[in-house]
Amino acid sequence: MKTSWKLAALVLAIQLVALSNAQAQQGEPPQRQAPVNEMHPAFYLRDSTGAVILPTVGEADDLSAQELQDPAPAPDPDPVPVPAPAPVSIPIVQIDQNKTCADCHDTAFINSTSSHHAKHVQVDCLTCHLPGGVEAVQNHAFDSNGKILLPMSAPSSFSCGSCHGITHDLQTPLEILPDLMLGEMPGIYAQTLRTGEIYAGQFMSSSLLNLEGKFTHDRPWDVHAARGLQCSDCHYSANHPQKATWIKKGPVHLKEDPRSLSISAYLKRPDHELKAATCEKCHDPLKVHKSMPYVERHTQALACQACHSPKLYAPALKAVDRTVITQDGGPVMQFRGIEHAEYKAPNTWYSVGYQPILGRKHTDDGVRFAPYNPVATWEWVSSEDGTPVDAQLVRQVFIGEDGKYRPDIIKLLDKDADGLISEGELALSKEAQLVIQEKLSALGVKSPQIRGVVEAHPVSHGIVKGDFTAASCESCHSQDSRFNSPISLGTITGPQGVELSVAPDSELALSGRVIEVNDQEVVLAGSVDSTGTYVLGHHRYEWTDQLGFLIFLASILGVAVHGGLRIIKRQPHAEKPMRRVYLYGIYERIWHWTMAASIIALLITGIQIHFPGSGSGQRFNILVLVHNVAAVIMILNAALSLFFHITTGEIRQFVPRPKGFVRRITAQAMYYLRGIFTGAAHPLAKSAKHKLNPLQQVTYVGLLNVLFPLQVLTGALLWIGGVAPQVLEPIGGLSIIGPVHNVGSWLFLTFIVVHVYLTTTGHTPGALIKAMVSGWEMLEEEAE
Amino acid sequence: MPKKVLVIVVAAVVVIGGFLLLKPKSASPWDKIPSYRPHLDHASFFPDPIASGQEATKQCLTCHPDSSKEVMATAHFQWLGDTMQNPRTGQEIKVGKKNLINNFCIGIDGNWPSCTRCHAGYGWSDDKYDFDEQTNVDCLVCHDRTGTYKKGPSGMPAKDVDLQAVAKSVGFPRRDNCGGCHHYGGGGLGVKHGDLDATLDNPNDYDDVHMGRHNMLCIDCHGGKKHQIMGKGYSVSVNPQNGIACTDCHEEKPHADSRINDHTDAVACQTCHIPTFANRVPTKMVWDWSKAGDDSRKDDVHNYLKIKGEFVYDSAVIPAYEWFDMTVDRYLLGDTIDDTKMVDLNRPRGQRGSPGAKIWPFKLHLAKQPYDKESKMLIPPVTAGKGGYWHEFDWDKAMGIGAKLVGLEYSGQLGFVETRMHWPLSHMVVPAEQALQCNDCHSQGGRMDWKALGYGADPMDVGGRGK
Repeated sequence: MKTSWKLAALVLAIQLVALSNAQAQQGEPPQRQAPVNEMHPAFYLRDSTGAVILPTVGEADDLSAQELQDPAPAPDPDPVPVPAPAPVSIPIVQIDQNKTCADCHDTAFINSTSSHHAKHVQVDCLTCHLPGGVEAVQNHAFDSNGKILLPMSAPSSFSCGSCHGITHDLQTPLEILPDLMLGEMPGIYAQTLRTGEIYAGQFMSSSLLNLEGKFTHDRPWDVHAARGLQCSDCHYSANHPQKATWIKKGPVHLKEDPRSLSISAYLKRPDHELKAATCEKCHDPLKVHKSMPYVERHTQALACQACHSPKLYAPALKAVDRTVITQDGGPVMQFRGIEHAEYKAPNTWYSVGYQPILGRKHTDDGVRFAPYNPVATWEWVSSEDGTPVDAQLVRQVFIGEDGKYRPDIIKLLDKDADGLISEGELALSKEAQLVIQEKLSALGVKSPQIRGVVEAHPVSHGIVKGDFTAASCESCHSQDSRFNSPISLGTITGPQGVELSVAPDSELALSGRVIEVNDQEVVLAGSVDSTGTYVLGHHRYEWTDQLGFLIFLASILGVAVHGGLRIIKRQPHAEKPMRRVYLYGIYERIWHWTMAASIIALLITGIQIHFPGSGSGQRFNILVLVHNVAAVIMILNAALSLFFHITTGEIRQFVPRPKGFVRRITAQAMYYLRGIFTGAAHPLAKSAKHKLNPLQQVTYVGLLNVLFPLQVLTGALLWIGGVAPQVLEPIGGLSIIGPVHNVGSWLFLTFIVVHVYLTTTGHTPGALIKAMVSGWEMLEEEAE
Repeated sequence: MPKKVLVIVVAAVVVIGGFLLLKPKSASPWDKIPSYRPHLDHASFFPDPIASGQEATKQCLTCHPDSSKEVMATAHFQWLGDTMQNPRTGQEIKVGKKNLINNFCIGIDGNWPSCTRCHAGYGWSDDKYDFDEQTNVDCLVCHDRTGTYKKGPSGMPAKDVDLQAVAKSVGFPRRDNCGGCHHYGGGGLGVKHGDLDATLDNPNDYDDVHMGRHNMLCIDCHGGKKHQIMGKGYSVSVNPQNGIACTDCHEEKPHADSRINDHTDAVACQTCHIPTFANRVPTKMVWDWSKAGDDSRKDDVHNYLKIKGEFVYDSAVIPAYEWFDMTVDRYLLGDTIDDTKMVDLNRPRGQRGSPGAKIWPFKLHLAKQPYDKESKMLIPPVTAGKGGYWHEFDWDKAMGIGAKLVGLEYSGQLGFVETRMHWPLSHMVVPAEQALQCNDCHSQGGRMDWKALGYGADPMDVGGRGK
């Protein structure tokens, strides 16, 4: 019973395609039939007993098919001579495709491997392999041997599209007909409803759809379709010998394995478990993406579609309540990216498009982020095996023979008793659920139940070329990154008392996301959990920023208080005889200012990378580049300077002398705390030999031996994480390194504040800075 | 020490700067675009009212003494351009609008005053025109910058034109100067070319990327010295000499994708970059002279005129695609035709594999035009001229006078034969993103007829190049 309904739905879908094609072709000269495929020989049609079917001359007996068929165009001048036949009809219903094709192909093997020939879906050979399906047999003539020459071929995209989603040619502008409202799955809008995908080479701007900024969309709906690829080019037979030569895995010394299946053996037994080729099968992402920084990390963490299916414009479902049937015969649906959908004509809907969310997806190379469209779905399922109840059955419950709601359904749902079921009334209350449940049981559904799930449908098509991708770094590397953006699941309330939960096979994709039900709207909240993923510019740990900011604030406050007191007290330095000393050699000054410039550049760019959108509004990738270049300059500068200090022995300046260290450090500290306000003399004399006071020495030992190496190391690791991500995997990726680097930069910022402030503590506020510029400093005359 | 550091810094700057300077500069198409100095304001040179076109030219010549001679040597004035050998007589002849026929208004002989409205000269009203009179050159039609200059019968300035104001305004020719004739060829907006019409006066990005997005002028590509304007119209030309090509500015293989670059050996740039023509203004596709003279039909410029017959106009037309080696087989007056077949007036030469031939986009113009059934020759009838068909609706008379003017005999046996002209397209180039995509040609129902082009099947499937 169920299968027959499935078949009926399928036939309906095919008929709708045929009908829409027929409508599209009205007023045009009759088109030539699809060219005959000369590669496929003529063959006998056979019925279920294996007997050959010959055409009968005269009246057709299969009226249902005949009526929908265009008047058959004259047969092509085929390469095989065809005796001009009288008008013939073929008893289509009698054709047994398994028997017919079994003359050459192992149909039993094919059916056993075919995912299109399983429990719930049974598609026969000609539906996919003959353009137009089995009815197209009518358009072709028999030869004198009683064989028929049909243009059998690998399934075209149009064949696939008749059940899977919109595919389209170039000749007629693409449109979406009101039968979208039927919400058929499978059906000509199936994948389009799931995700908004359209597999067509036609330019979006050439369609009849009402797209926002339509004429800026001068790109095909899918670039592969525009490049002449058919569905079967990527979804190919598992043992296709031509594709088998691409197999990467195997003995490394072989480029190709000659022991692959022969063509003839393949044609006998083509494995119909269709593969879904990954992008990497044809494309090498490392060879393109020249302008993208850290391409290795990006391709490791992201599925290609994450950037290359950035926005979809066809009506994709946001929420669907399949437990009820609207007056149009379909479920209650809400669509994504659609504004103003007043009329039941999807062509007129104003589509602004939607950006799919990024969820996790298992691939051959691990888990990657890929785009998904989450859909809130309520549907009847048979609790026995969890399969959804056929939409036809639900329709049968709601809609009578006359195409109108059944009277008892109106009575059941019509709350305001106006004799009509308005949109708001189309939601099943607890009592109504029981009634429908009963009716479905009566139709043979075993223990029907309502299930409310959020399904995440992966977006795999609608691929755009590089220039149309979500190319801006900020779409991910920013506060409102695509990684965490919440997404609406519509305002349909669904059946009373049925809670939405994440569908089991969508759990990975939606991990970390939470379904939140507001008064108005169901929202899939952003993923707070992003284990193992640290997106620069987006992820940050609040506490590191808070801690760092506190330290920074403390230094600012300290400087303000200390400096304020100095200004208030304003005691002149005790006059002492001064002499001019050449304290800082040219190289010392160069390395000092190089260091200063590179660190300031690092801080400025670092802050902007950490808080994208702050500051100058430079492009993220430029900021990262400048940051990296500044880091390299700083490291080289540090290395040269270390070399200088070691070879000249100047490094001793930094090493505290143990003798009297405590006394001297106390004296220096006391000077900063007290003496400086009273105009006391510097407690420790400065000289060419002793440029640094003990406090400075301690600071620099910590800075140069702990903070600086730590910052260089974490910075380098951040960079390595971009170019060779596998190196960081054992230590959890960037999620630890990022925050450490962040705290380090706060400390550096703090150092700079204090350092700059302390330069004002010379005998005049500007004296020390001047000294670092000119090299000459006024020192107090005091013999050391 | 400071000196050493300075030396190092200078050395580094020199090395890095050297690298930057020596890096090969990629050729930009913009390098070839001429820049124009501001045109000298000519207002002060014309203090007095100017009575006639010739008077204006005389004044021009006082400062530009060679200009008339230059213009008189060109096809714009002579209406004769290419030199070719007449295959029938073996003679070297010059061909051009003056002595060729087309399948629109057919020929100029006997119809001079109306045809020569677009002549870059004054007063060509019969076959005794003085092509050596310098003052007959019309300077203003190309150099007017007021936008008010108009030409009347025989190319004389229209009565209401203020010639003094026009002369004061002169400057470099802009798109509307060229367009005044070339956008209206065939007697009306967009009739003839299909890729030239008044949308190109002020085009948007999508009408033409050069003239729209980049605001280029006709003379940026159609340059030339001494008034010898470069460019070819294959309705009146037979070879590519003095022609221009996309590759004059663009690289031979400019695409980032090598698969597209591979196409340029066999496919002209125009084929992909002009997906459709006559995008906004319809152009004439079919002209049936044999239906002319029917009083019972209502006149309507785009469908039927009693004087001209029946038309079919179309817009946003997909071109026809044929091999073309930049030479054509030209029908010359006196050639006999096979009246059982479509007669090509300028069949493009070349086929798959012939040297220099590429697949080009064409506007095909089909017509049924009068011929002499007995001599099997196409005869240019007199139409607008004296005794012409447009006045008397007498084919025999019109054909008789016409034949006499071009030195042919008319037997009185009137017939109408189907003729075809090929108009290769080079304008209305769309931005790259609007160019044809793979599946426009390489798909079921694609726009190429592979068999007619000499391929067994779609070369994407069976391989096209390298054989």
